[in-house]
Amino acid sequence: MNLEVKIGETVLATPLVGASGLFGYGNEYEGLLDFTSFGAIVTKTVTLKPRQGNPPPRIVDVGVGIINSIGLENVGSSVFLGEVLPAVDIPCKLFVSIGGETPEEYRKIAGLFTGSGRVDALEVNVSCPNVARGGIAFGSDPESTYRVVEGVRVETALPVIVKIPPLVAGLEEVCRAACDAGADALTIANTYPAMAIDIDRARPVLGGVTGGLSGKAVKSISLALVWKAAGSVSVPVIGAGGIETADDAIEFILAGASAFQIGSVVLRDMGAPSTIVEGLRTYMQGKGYGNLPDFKGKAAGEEDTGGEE
Amino acid sequence: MTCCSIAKIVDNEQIRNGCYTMKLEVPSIAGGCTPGQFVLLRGLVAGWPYLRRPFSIYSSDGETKVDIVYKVVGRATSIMSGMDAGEEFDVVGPLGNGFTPDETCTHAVAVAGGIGIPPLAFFCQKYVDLYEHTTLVLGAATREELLVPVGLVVQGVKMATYTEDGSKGCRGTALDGLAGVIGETALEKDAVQVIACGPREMLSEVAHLCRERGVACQVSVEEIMACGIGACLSCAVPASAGGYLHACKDGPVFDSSEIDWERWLET
Ligand SMILES: Cc1cc2nc3c(=O)[nH]c(=O)nc-3n(C[C@H](O)[C@H](O)[C@H](O)COP(=O)(O)OP(=O)(O)OC[C@H]3O[C@@H](n4cnc5c(N)ncnc54)[C@H](O)[C@@H]3O)c2cc1C
Ligand SMILES: Cc1cc2nc3c(=O)[nH]c(=O)nc-3n(C[C@H](O)[C@H](O)[C@H](O)COP(=O)(O)O)c2cc1C
Ligand code: FES
Repeated sequence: MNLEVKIGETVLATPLVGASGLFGYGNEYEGLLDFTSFGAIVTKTVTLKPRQGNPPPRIVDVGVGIINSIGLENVGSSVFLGEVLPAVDIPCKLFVSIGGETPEEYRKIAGLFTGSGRVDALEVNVSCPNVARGGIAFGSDPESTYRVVEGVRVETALPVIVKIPPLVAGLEEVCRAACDAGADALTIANTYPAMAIDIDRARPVLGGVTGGLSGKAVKSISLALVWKAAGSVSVPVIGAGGIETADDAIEFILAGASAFQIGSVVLRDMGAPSTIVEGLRTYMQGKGYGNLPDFKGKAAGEEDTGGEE
Repeated sequence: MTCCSIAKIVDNEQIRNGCYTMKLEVPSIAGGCTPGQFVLLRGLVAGWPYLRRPFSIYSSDGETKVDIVYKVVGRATSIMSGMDAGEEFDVVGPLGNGFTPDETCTHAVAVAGGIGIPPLAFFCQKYVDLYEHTTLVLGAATREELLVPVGLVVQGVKMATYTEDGSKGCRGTALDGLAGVIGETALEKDAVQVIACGPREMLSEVAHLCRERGVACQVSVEEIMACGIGACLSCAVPASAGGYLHACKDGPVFDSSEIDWERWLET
């Protein structure tokens, strides 16, 4: 059985990808996670200059998931390139998530990381606030998405994955703009705007006031977005949001995803990556699928009446 | 070494209203943990919220078992209070940096406010022989809230108890207790090492007092955590050098001068 997935020219051993922000810069879970289950890990979003991030508390447990407002804290591109990247030692691909305040910053950072040798793909986080437009995410409209991705594309021969924020009006247009600008794949989707209020103190819980919801709660919403996006672009779609079991992952593939990311679940269960990949294998075996494309997007085709028999 | 395993409850006993000690069988942690380190627990029972919860290690038999002491404050801790011997947690640990004992000091003063006692009790238990004098200052609002876990009598450790209403021990706060100990003897400031754990406001006052007196002070802090290993950047603590420290990886024990208390208290 073959679980390989191709993103641009990069081949992943499995379709399971560690989501940005949950796995540090790559090495943090050394000795704790079974990295052989992963096709790739995406780093925390790195920006040109270091960022301090938001005041605490930065995370709140809402039972069905978590809301985070880390605020893009990261070491910045030069420490990342000089100190962090050379030490990364994991037996799977490394995708670097990049962010910026202007399209120019995205372009610059893409250039910096391209020559480094250890980076297998760039994931462009277009959920970052566009400073020139009052802080609305670049990914919330097709034009700014296009401008960011176009610049990155010019600078790099690495596969370019664009990570789309959810709940944008005209998701399909944003996805198509990213592809028109040269994206090799799309990650659908980032976290969902959310908040929690402390009813005793009558104050927002998070230091950043609002944050992004992830985990179980968002799975069905992300699944619908993946379905929508996969129907409107021809590049691979990487599903993300609330995937916690093999069945969840299979749903995303049936909806049209070529690969999928997991994030929050690892905070609960470090065994999840292996369990998911094993479960995926068992499913494929049971159905007689030898490759992922055998059932990718199948939910949009004819009903499965029980395999080949 | 940090690892992820299963911890089985050996015993879960109420010490006083709302506070419990729990003995866990978890050889992977018991064998190699030091005072100040913590574990992240997720109960393998229905109804557990999303994330694991952090608890300081209160004691360890060095081989198979560790104890924690916890107070019921919300969802996870109330589920824990109803768990029985034999039930299990998914556990990660030991995590974080523990206290660094300073053998050049003759006096160690451990200052515990509220539920701050577990890591300090472990410190006293393990390092009592390194100092000529070890004092554990316990503070609480009332006698009822004073947390003295059963079996907490470490030979050679002097206990000083303070309640704000005077219902047990001396009247006053743990801070008054600390001021008393530091002030009572004609000690060289270099001879004293202070370690503290408790509410953020109390830690800030302890840090302030120690800075005034020129006494070295290490604090064990709490901030909401998720991964426990420095990967998610959730557990930010304002640093005096600017930016943030991360309680799980850089701490939870810090030299009190590393923390920007003013900024942290504002959050
Ligand atoms: C390093 C470390 C060591 C700790 N050691 C102990 C210990 O030995 N004994 C003990 O009783 N408690 C300890 N705590 C605090 C303990 O983790 C929280 O009380 C617990 O997570 C609350 O979970 P809950 O689901 O019951 O509360 P929730 O329902 O989640 O929330 C109730 C309240 O608890 C607060 N809270 C939630 N999570 C945390 C957290 N991670 N840290 C601090 N406050 C939190 C919330 O802000 C809220 O006010 C420690 C915390 C840290 C960071
Ligand atoms: C603590 C935390 C930090 C995150 N940081 C980033 C980030 O830096 N960049 C990014 O693109 N997404 C970030 N995300 C979003 C995740 O990559 C992922 O898209 C999201 O969590 C949904 O997947 P999940 O439900 O499996 O966690 C973060 C999520 C969490 C919970
Ligand atoms: S809890 Fe994840 S970095 Fe500290």
